[in-house]
Amino acid sequence: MQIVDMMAIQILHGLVYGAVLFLLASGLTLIFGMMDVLNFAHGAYYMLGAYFSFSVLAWTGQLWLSLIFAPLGVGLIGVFVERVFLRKLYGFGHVPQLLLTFGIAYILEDVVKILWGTEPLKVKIPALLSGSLSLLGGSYPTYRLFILVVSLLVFAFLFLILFKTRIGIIVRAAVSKKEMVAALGFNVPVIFSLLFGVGSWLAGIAGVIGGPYLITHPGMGGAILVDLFVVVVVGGLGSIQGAMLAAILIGELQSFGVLFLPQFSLFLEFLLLAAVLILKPEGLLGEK
Amino acid sequence: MKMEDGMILEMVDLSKHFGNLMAVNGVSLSIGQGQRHAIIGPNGAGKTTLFNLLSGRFKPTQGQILFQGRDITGMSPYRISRLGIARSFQIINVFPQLSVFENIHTVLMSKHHIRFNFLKNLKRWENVTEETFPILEQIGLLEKKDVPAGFLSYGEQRGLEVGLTIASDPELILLDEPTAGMSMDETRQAIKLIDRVTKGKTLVIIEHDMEVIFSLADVVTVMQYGKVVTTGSPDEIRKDQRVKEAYLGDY
Amino acid sequence: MSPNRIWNILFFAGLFLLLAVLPKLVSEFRLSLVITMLIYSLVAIGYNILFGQGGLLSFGHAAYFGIGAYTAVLVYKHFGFSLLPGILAGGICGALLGVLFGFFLARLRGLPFALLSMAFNALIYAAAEKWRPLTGGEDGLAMKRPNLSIPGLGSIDMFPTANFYYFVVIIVVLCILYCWFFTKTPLGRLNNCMRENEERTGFIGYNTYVTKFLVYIIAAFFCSVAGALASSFQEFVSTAIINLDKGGEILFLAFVGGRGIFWGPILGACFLTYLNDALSTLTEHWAIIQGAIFILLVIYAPDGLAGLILQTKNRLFSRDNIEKGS
Repeated sequence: MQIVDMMAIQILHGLVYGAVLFLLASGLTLIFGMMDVLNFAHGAYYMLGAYFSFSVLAWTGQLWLSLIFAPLGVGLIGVFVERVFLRKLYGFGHVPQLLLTFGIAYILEDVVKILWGTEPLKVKIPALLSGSLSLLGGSYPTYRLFILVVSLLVFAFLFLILFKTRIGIIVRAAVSKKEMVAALGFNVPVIFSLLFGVGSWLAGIAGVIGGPYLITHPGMGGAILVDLFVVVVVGGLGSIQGAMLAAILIGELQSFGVLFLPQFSLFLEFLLLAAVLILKPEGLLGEK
Repeated sequence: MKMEDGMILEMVDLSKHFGNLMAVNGVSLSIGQGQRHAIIGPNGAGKTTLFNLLSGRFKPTQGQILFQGRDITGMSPYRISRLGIARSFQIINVFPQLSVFENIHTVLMSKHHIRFNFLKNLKRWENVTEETFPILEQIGLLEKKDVPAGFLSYGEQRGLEVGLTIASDPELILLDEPTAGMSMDETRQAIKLIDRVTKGKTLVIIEHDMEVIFSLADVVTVMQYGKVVTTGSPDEIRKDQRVKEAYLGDY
Repeated sequence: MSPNRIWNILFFAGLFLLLAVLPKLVSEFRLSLVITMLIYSLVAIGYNILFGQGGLLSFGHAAYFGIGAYTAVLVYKHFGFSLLPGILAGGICGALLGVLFGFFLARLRGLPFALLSMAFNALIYAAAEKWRPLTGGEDGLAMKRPNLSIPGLGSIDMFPTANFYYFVVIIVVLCILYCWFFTKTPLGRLNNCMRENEERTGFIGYNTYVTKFLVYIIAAFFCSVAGALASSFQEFVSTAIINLDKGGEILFLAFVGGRGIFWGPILGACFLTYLNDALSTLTEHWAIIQGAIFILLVIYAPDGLAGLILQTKNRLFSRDNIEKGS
């Protein structure tokens, strides 16, 4: 295999991981941008998506059913958490919200352990997706390409909604200036709940497609949380484009880092985070 | 850097841009030692931004600030404070859970260079404790010294805000709308207070209330759109046509 | 002498007396529980210097607990340190790590601070996992508790729980006494000012970066000392001590107890340790209960248990006491 092909494969690896990160980060950054809430439980929603998917697949063996229902379930849970718990804390600043969502994540992790056990799960992905395709002179796991395809579809869908529909304009406006949106007569609490639901839904999708690839186990939320927060902060809290840029960056950093400097890939990531926080704390594409 | 005689503060072509917004645009202004200098202008004229530049909260995009002959452009707030410039804030900026006494006491600690000691009980610096009481008295909060600052009335908090500013005995005092939101009575009390605590010092005050300006100021500068429109005595300013236009009539 | 003062003196005299005779009164198992409470009280108090007093939320303090724990075990094993130097070494290594991380963290506050602290924790955890030869990874390292060597008095065997208990009591009480004293020092006052209004603190002439930096190191030191005591007690350490869950536990201790009052974290540590012990015999999934308590407190009683107690006391004695944070 040629060196160019090897590089291309590595880049592809990075994009796949970056895609999962972006799915997660986009939900998180939207929620933060509009509601000024950093949802510490986002990793837990990702985990829930993976576990729900595991069960749907175990029962029905149909991936498309899982793709529809598992994220929906997570989205509903997200709305529930927002309405019942988070709503009580608006206006109290970041610390109470961080504490609350941290507590939720803590509980969800234990609930998962009760219902599905503490061992990692082997998710039954359809035979169609478990092989590999020949690509660039070698073979590449089909499932990873599937991740890319689904992610691209979700991005396209998001892009369409956010930039081409009325409700998308409202959401984007609310992300930069929520007072104006309220003043214009929109029901902000309902939009909040909706947004939280959509954010959690995105996390659920990430879990459904990411679980088989990144291992489905109770600690998976915590495991991806650090990368997730780095992406959101580096990209800029509230910026979807920033999240995309940062997700690709971190994805590639992990991919190449693991290859060349396995001991230090996390160290490089932390260095990037520290540098951004010190030099440009609003993130690469964020606004002050 | 050479400064004009008798000037304590000099701003040379000072500018601050926020993207396309020129909040402060080429301001050149000198403040005389011992002067009571008011800065007025419509909202958005750049007055508070000017204070932010002088106190180190923002770094200028361009220009220079000289204080007592020293270039303080772009210095961080704590260093500017230690040189003898103190400012108050338009929105009350005290330490809410600390008592009134502790609020003022902390400023005095700084004045006496007591900072990072973690081995000695604060009470042992009796001189600092002693100095706190007269200041509390000056701002009329001696009886409420043990009340957490957050529980004070609005007017009392404004008094504390002034107290925090003057407690370190600064040479140059910058007060940003100290009477904002006050009733007529409270304003009159505030004028007396400000007069008392700034005796012998240089005062620069941003204000909208004309009564305050006429009671206190020797010199008035009018700003608009980030620039200085004119500077003169209160009487001159009152009669100036440009000033009237800047405010679109009113007072 | 005011009645308040008399009550305080009686209370502390009684407390110290109780602590002194405790080994005679309770079983070894219960004594172990008390040792755990003491150790967690120390880590919670240390953490609260940053959290409750300084207003800085850190998700990364498990790293210090862990560094203290590992350092102690490693110096016992490889250098033959006795007990006290081992504990001190743990504290010092923690402080050094605090210098390294504090250098970056002291510039920040709020959300960025919390996130970077979490990233640092992940870093230490990953490092500990990778250096298996040194740390034993998930399997951990085991050791035998070393003796306490006092120059002039010889060596005291620390294997009996009662002996180790007295050692822990002395260390923890001394540390907590210092932490109380700290709140009365200039830096302690500044720490509170930073929580209340960091910006204004700068404007009245204080270098806020240095302030946060120093406070961070001090908090790290005490958390590490607690960690060293913990591994010396368990005679074991593994990477589980460094993960984010542990960081969450430390946060819980301080928050549940009440971060706005000095002794709140002590209450939290004792209460949660007791609850953990009582409930773990009933159910494996006591984490859910802990999480639920936490959430209820965040929403309804953000001043924690100490806050609830003081509110009740005020209502019962209908005094017009205005409670302020320590």
